[in-house]
Amino acid sequence: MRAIAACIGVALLASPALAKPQRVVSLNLCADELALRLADPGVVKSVTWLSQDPRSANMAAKAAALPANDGHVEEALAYDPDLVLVGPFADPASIALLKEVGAPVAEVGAPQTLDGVRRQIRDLAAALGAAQRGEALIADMDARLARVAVDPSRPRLKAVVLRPNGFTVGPGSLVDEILARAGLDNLAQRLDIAADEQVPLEVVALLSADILILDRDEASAPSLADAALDHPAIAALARRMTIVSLPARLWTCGGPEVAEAVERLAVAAARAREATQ
Amino acid sequence: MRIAARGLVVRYGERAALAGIDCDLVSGELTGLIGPNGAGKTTLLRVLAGLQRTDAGETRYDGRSAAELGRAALARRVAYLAQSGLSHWPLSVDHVVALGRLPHRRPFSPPSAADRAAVEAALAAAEVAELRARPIGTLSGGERARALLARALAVEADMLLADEPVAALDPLHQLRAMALLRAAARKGAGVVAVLHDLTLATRFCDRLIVLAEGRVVADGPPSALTDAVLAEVYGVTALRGERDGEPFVVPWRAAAPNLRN
Amino acid sequence: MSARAASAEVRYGPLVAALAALALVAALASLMVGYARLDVPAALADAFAGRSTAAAVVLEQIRLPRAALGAMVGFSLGLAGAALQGLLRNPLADPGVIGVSGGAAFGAVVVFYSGLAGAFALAMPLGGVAGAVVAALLLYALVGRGAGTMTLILAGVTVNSFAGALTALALNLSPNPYAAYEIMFWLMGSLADRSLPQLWLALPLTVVGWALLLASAPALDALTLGEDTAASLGFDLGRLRAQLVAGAALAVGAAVAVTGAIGFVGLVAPHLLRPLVGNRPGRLLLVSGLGGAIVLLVADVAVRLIPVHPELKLGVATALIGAPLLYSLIDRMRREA
Repeated sequence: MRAIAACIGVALLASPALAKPQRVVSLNLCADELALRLADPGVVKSVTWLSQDPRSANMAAKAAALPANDGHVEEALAYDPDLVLVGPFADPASIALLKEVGAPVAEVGAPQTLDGVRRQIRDLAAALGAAQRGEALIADMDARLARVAVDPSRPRLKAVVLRPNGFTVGPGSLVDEILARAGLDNLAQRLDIAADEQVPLEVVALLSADILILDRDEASAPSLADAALDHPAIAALARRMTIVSLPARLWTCGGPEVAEAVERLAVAAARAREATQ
Repeated sequence: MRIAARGLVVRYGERAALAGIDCDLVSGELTGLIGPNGAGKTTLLRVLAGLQRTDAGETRYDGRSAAELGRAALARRVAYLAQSGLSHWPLSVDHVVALGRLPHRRPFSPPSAADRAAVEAALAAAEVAELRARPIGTLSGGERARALLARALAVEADMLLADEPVAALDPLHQLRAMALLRAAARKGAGVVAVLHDLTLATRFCDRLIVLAEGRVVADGPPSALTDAVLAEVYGVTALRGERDGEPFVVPWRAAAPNLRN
Repeated sequence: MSARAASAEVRYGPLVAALAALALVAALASLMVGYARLDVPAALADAFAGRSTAAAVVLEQIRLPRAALGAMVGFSLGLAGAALQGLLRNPLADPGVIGVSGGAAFGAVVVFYSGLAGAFALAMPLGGVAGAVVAALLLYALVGRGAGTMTLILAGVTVNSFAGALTALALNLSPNPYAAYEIMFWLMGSLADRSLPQLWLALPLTVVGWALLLASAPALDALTLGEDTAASLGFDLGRLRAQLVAGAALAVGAAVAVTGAIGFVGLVAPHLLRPLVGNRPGRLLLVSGLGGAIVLLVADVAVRLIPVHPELKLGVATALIGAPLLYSLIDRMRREA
């Protein structure tokens, strides 16, 4: 699977890698965030505009201090980089172009498991010459995960995820593992869907979940997709199930912020257990 | 009812459709409004019906203006029969005729006995009673004209202003319709009809108003339609005669140039 | 115009009663149909007893608004279609075809995506009404005096294209990443997951629109014989036009703000029912409203039964029926001319 390959890889191409890159340009949101966490100050020269939006990015404050790019290779070259970070769906032609001009490229993937997350942090830390910082980041994440206590003897609570436009999260994804870590069962499995699909609100309401996880953030501009999560039926359901807000930025990139996702869910699970007692 | 018009002027751009008209119309009379095409007959009729704004002059209905009388009262007392005879939707004849009762009916209340009687009387008078269920679009030109005349009669107004009511009718129905209009006038209504047929005009009308180029050229009993007037207004000479005390006027030849103005 | 047309007329009272009953049945069907198996009688019992079980929530907050809005919007579209056809003296006028719905969608989009609706909830339906008024005025300027069918359709195409383009532009300019993809909702309409607050918000403006339109019935009858005759029968034509434009804008504008633009309901319902009222435009108004409610509710049941994901937009279903009808109407008018 391409996803696994992406998780595993940091591909170093063309010229021999420098021991520690001094001019790093990132063309991908997830790469932005990891790079900002791992690299020395002043090494990252430019990040994408997406990482400067606090709604969709975790390192917005740090990112805001840097010049923004639109994810185009030409923009990266302007900085004469010694390392360019791209995302999993980068255009092969762009990568070839970078190879031609002799700029090293590292690809940051979208890990689907927690192990994949750890592997990615290590690989990128190595490419940035910041192995120690990488290990520290992993250790911190693992410590936070360990602090989430899940009593294996108690039955797992049932949860369902609702995203804008009524999409849910299918089985086998990183979110699934995050839910499991927090002691929750993803009810999407019962709905007989393979991947992320739209679920009618009626079905969600009648699923008898204990916890409803909303991918919602305090909105910037309105849209129908976001408004769908404000339906009065959801508010009515709040009396019968615990509702927790979990913005997508905590789990789409598969960085150390997933620990925060697990923590929030665990807190919600505890609340839900109390409510049923 | 008396309609008094003074100094009516209607301009369309440069052209004056009515260039200063004075006339009085009273109930009990059948008045024929005649003149060549473009003389202003339709415009005058529309002004009298309250449908056309004037650039100068005023019209009074029993001494009151249209505004003082009010839209609803004016609609009850003055009926207008348009020249074009169109019906946008294929209503049946009885529904079309029933539209004539709208000025008398309270909105959304069912038709009263008086309404139904008026519709029946109008259908009978215009001789379209047996066509009552037919959609108006399936009628011949003459039948449709009679049906629309019945609609105007159903208003039972004090004044009926009809624009070419008999133009599309065959000779038999022309005679009957003119007799009908005259009978309505005898019963107390005032009728003003735009006519092209000079014989019908002189035979049936109590009075003729002759228009040319927006002005009244002659106004009086049918004898006012002299040869001089005919030549000046229509540019024709006519054969005249009388039968059983009723006159006929048949346009015969183009008038020689020196007989016209 | 066949001689059969007049003979299809039925008595008005029983017709209205029958249509109202059908509409009620359709609304009940809408309540019973959905994506989850719902024990409706049990849910009703729970709702009345004040128990907020999941079933009661689904019935009250999801299915009930959907059915009620289906009836309300369908009635508005059918009524407005009949009224516009009476005003323009043309059987092809429909709020969607002539661009009034498109204008309303643009008005609603501007209000919603700019955040105005968040500050002032009533702004949303008012935005729809404003957009509808502008579209109607534009259209009336082109075809108001009974211009022919060709001109009417062309004017409608123009207004619709312009409104659609502006709507797409507004959506693309929105900073929210989802906005650009929501155009299908606005241009084709949907009743999915509408809520009770939306129903209450749209209802007052809609009812005022209904009142204005229904009150114009005698005037529309008179207009059958042309503007001069109608004026001579005592009707103020300027006031009538304003009343009809305002009424249609209110009813359609508020509806579109909640459901997006759904077309052809205002074409299909009057067309089917006109012979039953003897072709009289005044009587057609109420009857067409009820017919529109039935059409929309049935279409909404159909889109939920068709196993397509995501749910088919309502406007698609109504267009599948309505566009061929429009085609055959134009063809018939062309041949009769």
